[in-house]
Amino acid sequence: MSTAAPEPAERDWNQCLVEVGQGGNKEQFMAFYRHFAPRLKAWLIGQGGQRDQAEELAQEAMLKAWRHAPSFDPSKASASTWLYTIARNLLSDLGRKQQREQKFIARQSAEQEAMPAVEQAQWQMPELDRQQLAAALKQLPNRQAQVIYQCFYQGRSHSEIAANMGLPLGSVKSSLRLGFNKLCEMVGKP
Amino acid sequence: MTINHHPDQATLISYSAGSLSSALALLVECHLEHCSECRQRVREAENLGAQLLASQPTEQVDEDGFFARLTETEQLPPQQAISGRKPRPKMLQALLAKGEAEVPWRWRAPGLHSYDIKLDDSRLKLLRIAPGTHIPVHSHSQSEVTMVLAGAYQDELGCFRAGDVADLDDETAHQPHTLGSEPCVCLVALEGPLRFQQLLPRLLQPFMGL
Ligand SMILES: [Zn+2]
Repeated sequence: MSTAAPEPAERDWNQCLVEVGQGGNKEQFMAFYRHFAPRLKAWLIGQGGQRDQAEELAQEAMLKAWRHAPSFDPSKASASTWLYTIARNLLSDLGRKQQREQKFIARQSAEQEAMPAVEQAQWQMPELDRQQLAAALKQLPNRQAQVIYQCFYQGRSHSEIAANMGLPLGSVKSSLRLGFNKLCEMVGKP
Repeated sequence: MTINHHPDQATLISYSAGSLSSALALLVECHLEHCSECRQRVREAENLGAQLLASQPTEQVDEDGFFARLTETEQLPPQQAISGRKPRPKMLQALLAKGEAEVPWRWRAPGLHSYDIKLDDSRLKLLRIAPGTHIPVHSHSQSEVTMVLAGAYQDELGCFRAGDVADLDDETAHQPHTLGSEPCVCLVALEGPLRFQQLLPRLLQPFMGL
Protein backbone atom coordinates (compact mmCIF):
# COMPACT_ATOMS: atom_id res chain seq x y z
CA MET A 1 0.00 0.00 0.00
CA SER A 2 3.02 2.21 0.34
CA THR A 3 3.78 2.09 -3.35
CA ALA A 4 3.18 4.39 -6.25
CA ALA A 5 0.40 6.52 -7.56
CA PRO A 6 -3.28 5.91 -6.84
CA GLU A 7 -4.79 3.11 -8.86
CA PRO A 8 -7.64 3.83 -11.24
CA ALA A 9 -11.04 2.66 -10.05
CA GLU A 10 -12.74 -0.34 -11.62
CA ARG A 11 -14.72 1.83 -14.01
CA ASP A 12 -11.49 3.15 -15.44
CA TRP A 13 -10.15 -0.33 -16.06
CA ASN A 14 -13.27 -1.01 -18.09
CA GLN A 15 -12.63 2.17 -20.06
CA CYS A 16 -8.96 1.27 -20.40
CA LEU A 17 -9.78 -2.14 -21.87
CA VAL A 18 -12.40 -0.71 -24.23
CA GLU A 19 -9.82 1.74 -25.55
CA VAL A 20 -7.21 -1.00 -25.86
CA GLY A 21 -9.78 -2.91 -27.88
CA GLN A 22 -10.46 0.02 -30.17
CA GLY A 23 -7.01 1.47 -30.61
CA GLY A 24 -4.62 -1.37 -29.82
CA ASN A 25 -2.48 0.86 -27.62
CA LYS A 26 0.21 -1.37 -26.09
CA GLU A 27 1.34 1.15 -23.46
CA GLN A 28 -2.19 1.37 -22.19
CA PHE A 29 -2.45 -2.39 -22.04
CA MET A 30 0.80 -2.48 -20.06
CA ALA A 31 -0.87 -0.33 -17.39
CA PHE A 32 -3.60 -2.96 -17.21
CA TYR A 33 -0.91 -5.65 -17.01
CA ARG A 34 1.00 -3.90 -14.25
CA HIS A 35 -2.12 -3.71 -12.16
CA PHE A 36 -3.61 -7.16 -12.70
CA ALA A 37 -0.73 -9.52 -13.57
CA PRO A 38 0.93 -9.39 -10.11
CA ARG A 39 -2.38 -10.33 -8.46
CA LEU A 40 -3.18 -12.93 -11.06
CA LYS A 41 0.21 -14.55 -10.53
CA ALA A 42 -0.30 -14.60 -6.76
CA TRP A 43 -3.71 -16.20 -7.23
CA LEU A 44 -2.27 -18.84 -9.58
CA ILE A 45 0.44 -19.70 -7.07
CA GLY A 46 -2.29 -20.18 -4.47
CA GLN A 47 -4.01 -22.58 -6.89
CA GLY A 48 -0.93 -24.77 -6.81
CA GLY A 49 1.29 -23.43 -9.55
CA GLN A 50 5.04 -23.13 -9.15
CA ARG A 51 6.28 -19.57 -9.55
CA ASP A 52 7.48 -19.99 -13.13
CA GLN A 53 4.31 -21.84 -14.19
CA ALA A 54 2.20 -19.14 -12.56
CA GLU A 55 4.15 -16.47 -14.40
CA GLU A 56 3.69 -18.30 -17.70
CA LEU A 57 -0.02 -18.81 -17.13
CA ALA A 58 -0.53 -15.21 -16.04
CA GLN A 59 1.20 -14.06 -19.24
CA GLU A 60 -0.96 -16.39 -21.30
CA ALA A 61 -4.13 -15.05 -19.70
CA MET A 62 -2.94 -11.50 -20.32
CA LEU A 63 -2.10 -12.23 -23.97
CA LYS A 64 -5.53 -13.74 -24.39
CA ALA A 65 -7.06 -10.60 -22.89
CA TRP A 66 -5.02 -8.53 -25.34
CA ARG A 67 -6.04 -10.60 -28.36
CA HIS A 68 -9.69 -10.54 -27.42
CA ALA A 69 -9.86 -6.98 -26.09
CA PRO A 70 -11.79 -5.84 -29.20
CA SER A 71 -14.70 -8.07 -28.15
CA PHE A 72 -14.65 -6.93 -24.50
CA ASP A 73 -18.07 -5.57 -23.57
CA PRO A 74 -18.26 -3.80 -20.20
CA SER A 75 -22.05 -4.08 -20.16
CA LYS A 76 -21.67 -7.87 -19.83
CA ALA A 77 -18.81 -8.08 -17.35
CA SER A 78 -16.37 -5.72 -15.70
CA ALA A 79 -12.74 -5.82 -16.81
CA SER A 80 -11.68 -7.65 -13.66
CA THR A 81 -14.45 -10.25 -13.94
CA TRP A 82 -13.67 -10.77 -17.62
CA LEU A 83 -9.99 -11.31 -16.87
CA TYR A 84 -10.86 -13.58 -13.95
CA THR A 85 -12.96 -15.86 -16.17
CA ILE A 86 -10.17 -16.01 -18.76
CA ALA A 87 -7.65 -17.07 -16.10
CA ARG A 88 -10.04 -19.52 -14.47
CA ASN A 89 -10.76 -21.22 -17.79
CA LEU A 90 -7.08 -21.48 -18.68
CA LEU A 91 -6.42 -23.00 -15.29
CA SER A 92 -9.15 -25.59 -15.60
CA ASP A 93 -8.03 -26.45 -19.15
CA LEU A 94 -4.65 -27.40 -17.72
CA GLY A 95 -6.24 -30.54 -16.40
CA ARG A 96 -7.29 -30.76 -12.83
CA LYS A 97 -5.64 -34.02 -11.95
CA GLN A 98 -2.11 -33.10 -12.84
CA GLN A 99 -2.60 -29.71 -11.33
CA ARG A 100 -3.98 -31.23 -8.14
CA GLU A 101 -1.09 -33.60 -7.69
CA GLN A 102 1.27 -30.69 -7.88
CA LYS A 103 -0.94 -28.77 -5.53
CA PHE A 104 -0.88 -31.45 -2.93
CA ILE A 105 2.87 -31.75 -3.05
CA ALA A 106 3.29 -28.03 -2.80
CA ARG A 107 0.77 -27.88 -0.04
CA GLN A 108 1.91 -30.51 2.40
CA SER A 109 4.21 -28.18 4.27
CA ALA A 110 1.80 -25.29 4.16
CA GLU A 111 -1.17 -27.39 5.22
CA GLN A 112 -1.17 -26.34 8.85
CA GLU A 113 -1.63 -22.68 8.16
CA ALA A 114 -3.96 -23.19 5.23
CA MET A 115 -6.69 -20.83 6.26
CA PRO A 116 -5.22 -18.48 8.84
CA ALA A 117 -3.50 -17.12 5.75
CA VAL A 118 -6.73 -15.29 5.06
CA GLU A 119 -6.41 -13.49 8.31
CA GLN A 120 -2.69 -12.99 8.20
CA ALA A 121 -2.46 -12.08 4.55
CA GLN A 122 -0.87 -8.81 3.64
CA TRP A 123 -3.83 -7.37 1.84
CA GLN A 124 -2.67 -4.81 -0.63
CA MET A 125 -5.85 -3.26 -1.76
CA PRO A 126 -5.71 0.34 -2.71
CA GLU A 127 -9.37 0.40 -3.66
CA LEU A 128 -12.15 0.76 -1.22
CA ASP A 129 -14.03 -2.36 -2.20
CA ARG A 130 -10.92 -4.46 -1.63
CA GLN A 131 -10.51 -3.17 1.88
CA GLN A 132 -14.15 -3.89 2.45
CA LEU A 133 -13.71 -7.39 1.13
CA ALA A 134 -10.76 -8.16 3.39
CA ALA A 135 -12.67 -6.85 6.37
CA ALA A 136 -15.73 -8.85 5.33
CA LEU A 137 -13.74 -12.09 5.05
CA LYS A 138 -12.39 -11.56 8.56
CA GLN A 139 -15.91 -11.13 9.88
CA LEU A 140 -17.11 -14.49 8.61
CA PRO A 141 -17.34 -17.38 11.04
CA ASN A 142 -14.19 -19.45 10.72
CA ARG A 143 -15.77 -22.43 8.97
CA GLN A 144 -17.40 -20.27 6.32
CA ALA A 145 -14.21 -18.33 5.69
CA GLN A 146 -12.25 -21.61 5.41
CA VAL A 147 -14.67 -23.03 2.88
CA ILE A 148 -14.70 -19.83 0.79
CA TYR A 149 -10.92 -19.75 0.94
CA GLN A 150 -10.45 -23.35 -0.17
CA CYS A 151 -13.04 -22.98 -2.92
CA PHE A 152 -11.89 -19.69 -4.45
CA TYR A 153 -8.20 -19.61 -3.62
CA GLN A 154 -7.24 -23.27 -3.70
CA GLY A 155 -9.62 -24.64 -6.30
CA ARG A 156 -10.87 -27.47 -4.11
CA SER A 157 -14.09 -29.33 -4.89
CA HIS A 158 -16.79 -29.84 -2.28
CA SER A 159 -15.64 -33.42 -1.65
CA GLU A 160 -12.04 -32.34 -1.23
CA ILE A 161 -13.02 -29.62 1.23
CA ALA A 162 -15.21 -32.11 3.10
CA ALA A 163 -12.32 -34.59 3.37
CA ASN A 164 -9.88 -31.86 4.30
CA MET A 165 -12.02 -30.42 7.06
CA GLY A 166 -13.66 -33.64 8.21
CA LEU A 167 -17.14 -32.32 7.48
CA PRO A 168 -20.14 -33.92 5.77
CA LEU A 169 -20.65 -32.75 2.21
CA GLY A 170 -23.91 -31.06 3.17
CA SER A 171 -22.16 -28.84 5.73
CA VAL A 172 -19.56 -27.80 3.19
CA LYS A 173 -22.28 -26.76 0.78
CA SER A 174 -24.28 -24.86 3.39
CA SER A 175 -21.17 -23.10 4.72
CA LEU A 176 -20.27 -22.08 1.20
CA ARG A 177 -23.74 -20.68 0.57
CA LEU A 178 -23.88 -18.83 3.87
CA GLY A 179 -20.36 -17.43 3.59
CA PHE A 180 -20.88 -16.38 0.00
CA ASN A 181 -24.18 -14.64 0.67
CA LYS A 182 -22.77 -12.79 3.65
CA LEU A 183 -19.74 -11.65 1.69
CA CYS A 184 -21.96 -10.37 -1.11
CA GLU A 185 -24.11 -8.49 1.38
CA MET A 186 -21.11 -6.96 3.06
CA VAL A 187 -19.30 -5.80 -0.05
CA GLY A 188 -22.42 -5.07 -2.04
CA LYS A 189 -23.11 -6.65 -5.37
CA PRO A 190 -20.76 -5.10 -7.87
CA MET B 1 -38.00 -25.13 -21.46
CA THR B 2 -39.43 -24.62 -17.99
CA ILE B 3 -36.93 -25.43 -15.32
CA ASN B 4 -38.07 -26.42 -11.85
CA HIS B 5 -34.91 -27.86 -10.31
CA HIS B 6 -31.58 -26.03 -10.31
CA PRO B 7 -28.08 -26.91 -9.15
CA ASP B 8 -27.43 -26.08 -5.51
CA GLN B 9 -26.16 -22.54 -5.10
CA ALA B 10 -22.94 -23.99 -3.66
CA THR B 11 -22.42 -25.88 -6.92
CA LEU B 12 -22.84 -22.68 -8.94
CA ILE B 13 -20.42 -20.85 -6.63
CA SER B 14 -17.81 -23.57 -7.08
CA TYR B 15 -18.39 -23.54 -10.83
CA SER B 16 -17.59 -19.82 -10.78
CA ALA B 17 -14.48 -20.48 -8.73
CA GLY B 18 -13.33 -23.11 -11.25
CA SER B 19 -13.23 -25.69 -8.50
CA LEU B 20 -15.79 -28.26 -9.62
CA SER B 21 -14.72 -31.63 -10.96
CA SER B 22 -14.61 -31.67 -14.77
CA ALA B 23 -17.71 -33.87 -14.97
CA LEU B 24 -19.77 -31.56 -12.82
CA ALA B 25 -18.52 -28.44 -14.62
CA LEU B 26 -19.63 -29.95 -17.95
CA LEU B 27 -23.04 -30.78 -16.50
CA VAL B 28 -23.48 -27.30 -15.04
CA GLU B 29 -22.63 -25.77 -18.41
CA CYS B 30 -25.38 -27.83 -20.04
CA HIS B 31 -27.85 -26.48 -17.49
CA LEU B 32 -26.63 -22.89 -17.88
CA GLU B 33 -27.48 -23.01 -21.57
CA HIS B 34 -31.12 -23.36 -20.58
CA CYS B 35 -31.27 -21.30 -17.42
CA SER B 36 -30.82 -17.54 -17.27
CA GLU B 37 -31.48 -17.55 -13.53
CA CYS B 38 -28.42 -19.70 -12.87
CA ARG B 39 -26.36 -17.74 -15.41
CA GLN B 40 -27.10 -14.66 -13.30
CA ARG B 41 -26.01 -16.41 -10.11
CA VAL B 42 -22.82 -17.57 -11.76
CA ARG B 43 -22.09 -14.04 -12.90
CA GLU B 44 -22.53 -12.75 -9.33
CA ALA B 45 -20.15 -15.37 -8.00
CA GLU B 46 -17.65 -14.54 -10.76
CA ASN B 47 -17.78 -10.92 -9.68
CA LEU B 48 -16.92 -11.97 -6.17
CA GLY B 49 -14.19 -14.29 -7.47
CA ALA B 50 -12.71 -11.38 -9.41
CA GLN B 51 -12.68 -9.26 -6.28
CA LEU B 52 -11.07 -12.04 -4.29
CA LEU B 53 -8.44 -12.38 -7.00
CA ALA B 54 -7.86 -8.64 -7.01
CA SER B 55 -7.41 -8.65 -3.23
CA GLN B 56 -4.36 -10.92 -3.51
CA PRO B 57 -1.02 -9.72 -2.26
CA THR B 58 1.02 -8.99 -5.38
CA GLU B 59 3.82 -11.08 -6.89
CA GLN B 60 6.57 -9.65 -8.97
CA VAL B 61 6.05 -10.14 -12.71
CA ASP B 62 8.25 -9.83 -15.77
CA GLU B 63 7.29 -6.66 -17.64
CA ASP B 64 9.91 -6.60 -20.40
CA GLY B 65 9.41 -10.23 -21.32
CA PHE B 66 5.68 -9.73 -21.50
CA PHE B 67 5.96 -6.56 -23.55
CA ALA B 68 8.10 -8.43 -26.08
CA ARG B 69 5.40 -11.08 -26.45
CA LEU B 70 2.72 -8.42 -26.68
CA THR B 71 4.39 -6.74 -29.63
CA GLU B 72 4.35 -10.06 -31.49
CA THR B 73 0.68 -10.72 -30.84
CA GLU B 74 -2.07 -9.52 -33.13
CA GLN B 75 -5.46 -8.56 -31.80
CA LEU B 76 -8.49 -10.42 -33.06
CA PRO B 77 -11.54 -8.79 -34.65
CA PRO B 78 -14.42 -7.96 -32.25
CA GLN B 79 -16.66 -10.73 -33.55
CA GLN B 80 -14.26 -13.32 -32.12
CA ALA B 81 -15.46 -13.29 -28.56
CA ILE B 82 -14.04 -15.73 -26.04
CA SER B 83 -15.99 -18.90 -25.50
CA GLY B 84 -16.04 -19.58 -21.79
CA ARG B 85 -17.24 -23.14 -22.21
CA LYS B 86 -15.13 -26.20 -21.55
CA PRO B 87 -14.36 -28.37 -24.57
CA ARG B 88 -16.97 -31.13 -24.61
CA PRO B 89 -16.10 -34.81 -24.93
CA LYS B 90 -17.11 -36.15 -28.35
CA MET B 91 -19.82 -38.47 -27.12
CA LEU B 92 -21.47 -35.73 -25.10
CA GLN B 93 -21.41 -33.47 -28.13
CA ALA B 94 -22.99 -36.18 -30.26
CA LEU B 95 -25.68 -36.86 -27.68
CA LEU B 96 -26.58 -33.19 -27.32
CA ALA B 97 -26.57 -32.50 -31.03
CA LYS B 98 -28.18 -35.62 -32.43
CA GLY B 99 -29.85 -37.47 -29.61
CA GLU B 100 -29.49 -40.78 -27.84
CA ALA B 101 -29.32 -42.95 -30.95
CA GLU B 102 -25.74 -41.69 -31.38
CA VAL B 103 -24.52 -43.30 -28.18
CA PRO B 104 -23.11 -46.86 -28.18
CA TRP B 105 -25.05 -47.73 -25.05
CA ARG B 106 -23.96 -50.59 -22.82
CA TRP B 107 -26.56 -52.73 -21.17
CA ARG B 108 -26.40 -52.59 -17.36
CA ALA B 109 -29.67 -54.06 -16.16
CA PRO B 110 -33.17 -54.47 -17.53
CA GLY B 111 -34.27 -51.05 -18.72
CA LEU B 112 -30.96 -49.46 -17.90
CA HIS B 113 -28.18 -48.56 -20.33
CA SER B 114 -25.22 -46.35 -19.74
CA TYR B 115 -22.08 -44.98 -21.29
CA ASP B 116 -19.14 -43.78 -19.22
CA ILE B 117 -16.97 -40.83 -20.11
CA LYS B 118 -13.80 -40.91 -18.06
CA LEU B 119 -12.34 -37.52 -17.30
CA ASP B 120 -9.09 -36.64 -15.61
CA ASP B 121 -10.59 -36.30 -12.16
CA SER B 122 -14.13 -37.68 -12.35
CA ARG B 123 -16.65 -39.60 -14.42
CA LEU B 124 -19.51 -38.32 -16.51
CA LYS B 125 -22.09 -41.03 -16.99
CA LEU B 126 -24.71 -40.95 -19.70
CA LEU B 127 -27.80 -42.89 -18.64
CA ARG B 128 -30.70 -44.20 -20.67
CA ILE B 129 -33.59 -45.48 -18.63
CA ALA B 130 -36.39 -47.22 -20.47
CA PRO B 131 -39.98 -46.14 -19.86
CA GLY B 132 -41.44 -47.80 -16.79
CA THR B 133 -38.11 -48.56 -15.11
CA HIS B 134 -37.66 -48.45 -11.38
CA ILE B 135 -34.22 -47.86 -9.82
CA PRO B 136 -33.81 -49.33 -6.31
CA VAL B 137 -33.25 -47.16 -3.25
CA HIS B 138 -29.70 -45.98 -3.06
CA SER B 139 -27.66 -43.17 -1.63
CA HIS B 140 -24.23 -41.99 -2.65
CA SER B 141 -20.86 -42.26 -1.02
CA GLN B 142 -19.95 -38.87 -2.38
CA SER B 143 -21.80 -36.42 -4.53
CA GLU B 144 -24.00 -37.23 -7.47
CA VAL B 145 -25.55 -34.59 -9.64
CA THR B 146 -27.97 -35.54 -12.40
CA MET B 147 -29.34 -33.51 -15.27
CA VAL B 148 -32.23 -34.70 -17.41
CA LEU B 149 -31.70 -34.24 -21.15
CA ALA B 150 -34.84 -35.98 -22.41
CA GLY B 151 -37.85 -37.71 -20.93
CA ALA B 152 -38.60 -37.43 -17.22
CA TYR B 153 -38.30 -39.23 -13.92
CA GLN B 154 -39.77 -38.88 -10.49
CA ASP B 155 -38.45 -39.56 -7.02
CA GLU B 156 -39.06 -38.38 -3.45
CA LEU B 157 -37.90 -34.89 -4.39
CA GLY B 158 -40.28 -34.37 -7.27
CA CYS B 159 -40.55 -34.65 -10.99
CA PHE B 160 -37.49 -33.97 -13.13
CA ARG B 161 -37.81 -33.05 -16.79
CA ALA B 162 -35.41 -31.88 -19.52
CA GLY B 163 -33.13 -29.15 -18.18
CA ASP B 164 -33.78 -29.99 -14.52
CA VAL B 165 -30.88 -30.80 -12.22
CA ALA B 166 -30.95 -32.99 -9.11
CA ASP B 167 -28.08 -31.93 -6.90
CA LEU B 168 -27.89 -34.51 -4.11
CA ASP B 169 -25.40 -34.89 -1.34
CA ASP B 170 -24.26 -37.99 0.46
CA GLU B 171 -27.11 -37.96 2.95
CA THR B 172 -29.90 -38.27 0.45
CA ALA B 173 -31.32 -41.67 -0.44
CA HIS B 174 -33.67 -41.84 -3.37
CA GLN B 175 -35.65 -44.20 -5.52
CA PRO B 176 -36.31 -42.79 -8.94
CA HIS B 177 -38.66 -44.13 -11.61
CA THR B 178 -39.24 -42.90 -15.12
CA LEU B 179 -42.35 -41.04 -16.25
CA GLY B 180 -44.10 -41.13 -19.57
CA SER B 181 -43.52 -43.22 -22.64
CA GLU B 182 -40.14 -41.84 -23.70
CA PRO B 183 -36.82 -43.12 -22.38
CA CYS B 184 -35.29 -40.83 -19.80
CA VAL B 185 -31.81 -39.73 -20.83
CA CYS B 186 -29.62 -38.16 -18.16
CA LEU B 187 -26.15 -36.90 -17.50
CA VAL B 188 -24.72 -37.94 -14.16
CA ALA B 189 -21.58 -36.39 -12.69
CA LEU B 190 -20.03 -38.82 -10.26
CA GLU B 191 -17.25 -38.49 -7.77
CA GLY B 192 -17.78 -41.66 -5.73
CA PRO B 193 -19.26 -45.12 -6.35
CA LEU B 194 -22.94 -45.74 -5.74
CA ARG B 195 -23.80 -47.31 -2.43
CA PHE B 196 -26.86 -49.50 -2.46
CA GLN B 197 -28.74 -49.72 0.79
CA GLN B 198 -30.04 -53.22 0.41
CA LEU B 199 -27.71 -56.14 -0.10
CA LEU B 200 -30.00 -57.71 -2.61
CA PRO B 201 -32.08 -54.83 -3.80
CA ARG B 202 -35.22 -55.46 -5.77
CA LEU B 203 -32.67 -54.57 -8.28
CA LEU B 204 -33.75 -52.88 -11.42
CA GLN B 205 -36.97 -54.78 -11.80
CA PRO B 206 -38.76 -53.00 -14.53
CA PHE B 207 -42.32 -52.50 -13.53
CA MET B 208 -44.60 -52.19 -16.42
CA GLY B 209 -47.68 -50.11 -16.97
CA LEU B 210 -47.11 -47.01 -14.84
ZN1 LIG C 1 -30.93 -23.05 -13.21
